[in-house]
Amino acid sequence: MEKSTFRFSRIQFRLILWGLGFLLFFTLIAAVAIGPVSIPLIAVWQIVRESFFGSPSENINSAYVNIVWYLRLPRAFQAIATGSGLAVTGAMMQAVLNNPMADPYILGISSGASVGAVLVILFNLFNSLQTYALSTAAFIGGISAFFLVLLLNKNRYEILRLILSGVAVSSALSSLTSLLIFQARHGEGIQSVLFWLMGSLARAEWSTLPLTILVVSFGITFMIMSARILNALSLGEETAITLGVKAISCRYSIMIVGTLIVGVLVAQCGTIGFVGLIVPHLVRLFFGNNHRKLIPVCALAGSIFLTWVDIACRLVVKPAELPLGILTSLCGAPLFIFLLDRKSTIGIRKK
Amino acid sequence: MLNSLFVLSSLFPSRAQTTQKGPISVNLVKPHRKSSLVFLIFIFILLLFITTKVQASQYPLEIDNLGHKITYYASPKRVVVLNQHAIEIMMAIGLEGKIIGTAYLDDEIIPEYKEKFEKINYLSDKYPSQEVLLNTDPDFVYAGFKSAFGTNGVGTRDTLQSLGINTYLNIAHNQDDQVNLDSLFADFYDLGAIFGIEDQANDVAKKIREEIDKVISQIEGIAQPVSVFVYDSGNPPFTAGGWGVPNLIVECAGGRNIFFNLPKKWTTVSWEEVVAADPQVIVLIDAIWSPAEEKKNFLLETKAFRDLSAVQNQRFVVLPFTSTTSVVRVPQAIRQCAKAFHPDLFNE
Repeated sequence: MEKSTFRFSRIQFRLILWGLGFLLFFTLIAAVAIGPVSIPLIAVWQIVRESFFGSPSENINSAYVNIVWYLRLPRAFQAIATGSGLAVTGAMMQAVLNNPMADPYILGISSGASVGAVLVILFNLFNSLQTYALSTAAFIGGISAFFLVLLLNKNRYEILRLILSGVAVSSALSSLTSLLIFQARHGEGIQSVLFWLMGSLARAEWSTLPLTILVVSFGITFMIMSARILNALSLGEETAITLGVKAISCRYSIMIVGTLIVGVLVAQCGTIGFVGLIVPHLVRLFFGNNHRKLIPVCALAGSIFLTWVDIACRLVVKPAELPLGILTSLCGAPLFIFLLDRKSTIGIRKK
Repeated sequence: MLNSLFVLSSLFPSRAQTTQKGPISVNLVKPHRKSSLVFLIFIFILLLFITTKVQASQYPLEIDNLGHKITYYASPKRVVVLNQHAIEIMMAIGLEGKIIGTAYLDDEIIPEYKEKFEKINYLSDKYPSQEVLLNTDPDFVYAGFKSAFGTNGVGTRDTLQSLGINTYLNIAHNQDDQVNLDSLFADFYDLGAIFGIEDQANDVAKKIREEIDKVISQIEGIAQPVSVFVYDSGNPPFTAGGWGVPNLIVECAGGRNIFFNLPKKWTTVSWEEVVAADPQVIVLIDAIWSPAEEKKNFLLETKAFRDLSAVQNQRFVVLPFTSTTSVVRVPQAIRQCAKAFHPDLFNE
């Protein structure tokens, strides 16, 4: 894969991480302060501070409290967790499968989850508004699709076969989703399905956040700890084996951990495209393919990117709302192409 | 033939005959001529009267339906009707005899029409395929939603036209504009003209309109409309904008949709906006695929909504989905909403 364009010393890299961390903090503040309903910044601060240490005082507008504390803040945290989780698992998949086209959903997770979610939303199998029903169905769907792909590759260890069977299972399940949508009685329900399929953070709630944050932070830690193995795997299977990595067993265990993370995220937010595919590449343009650097930067960049996109989703067509997936690609793709061009010119100049 | 001509000529004696018979006979004929002239004028006036009266239903007749200009040369005889509200309009104006096929019900048909409806061939639960439609050999297709002529529908309007099938699309739900109490009844007037039963159709429209006006007059005295959030489904919520029938129902019932200024029929909004607007009443759209009870529980259980006036006072109105689509059901929906919005005005 691509070589690093810039070389950063250890201290420089530390500074960049701190800078990104600060930017993330600023992003969090923005996500809570900015929304379709304009709330004075002082009120926002007061609500957050007082809600944190108990219940907010009576003199604050209760609608503001509900908006800031029960809608915006959980949603912002969800955006941060989802963004970093997707970017990190994306980088992981690209390394493990040794394929630049890989993204977190490549092994059928999203299409499996879609089938579960659509069943719940359109056919009202459980109460579709309860976060748990939808998430559980989506999680089960996603994970079973992934294990189906693994089962299809039992006793076979070719990466290409794995990827292709993932693609095949995905397209079969996507068709199943379309069939379910087509069979549904009512057009209006399709709007909700569209929001789920294109990704949305509107379902974020305090009650489900701890699980998400726990899973994602475990995932990031795990990936940072596996950085050396990821580096070896991304050089190709044979190189990895000569470097003393048990390529096959490592690949599967890392992949399963990644899938569990993605499963949880997809279950709550639907399929958010682009973040897991492009953010790792974007980061790689600047930091090279060393996963010890790549993973933490991906985590920060992914969360910053997704949070800002979510802010845009809430604002662009206010008081209406856009599905997240529309804007991630719409904003991200031009940015990426621009940077891709810049990078190649920089590369030539260096030569 | 010659015989009859002879008889006719003897009934209307020619001028030549009369002049031949001298002054007496002239005197006899004079009053006769006068009366025939009066009779002719009378006939002429009568004809004029009849023609002006029936003018609109004289074919060929051009109807502009949402930009589709279609010329009718005769009253359609074999009609296929798609979507619940179109079916119910056809039955309301008494045209069920012309229907040879129906499709796509969202709910049970109105009980009064049930018996008649069940005699008609129900083609499919969703839109039938073009082949199935053509197999019924219709000369007119009346649909409730644009999607009927879309990709998963029965074919585009132009295609059907080229096959000799005229089409008509419900105006209230498909116009690119805000629906009002006039456009709500546009179908009645157009169908009346197309089928040559204008008086009948207009009477039905007038009766429905009168029911609506009655509720409007009952709530005339209100100081201020109550603020209303219409919750269809989903998370983020899918709600009624200012252009559709739900908004019209809320307005007529003395309410103000919190998203009345969104130029759409239905749209997805942010929960934030709902919380900030603090609606006094929430209208829950009830459908088989999305029961109102679930949505109510969700609103009552989610912490972000606990301070909404509607939630605190438990002011929910459950409207069946079909009452927001079918004009025939709209008066009932308006009455139900008005009672819930202004209970003090409806003490019975």
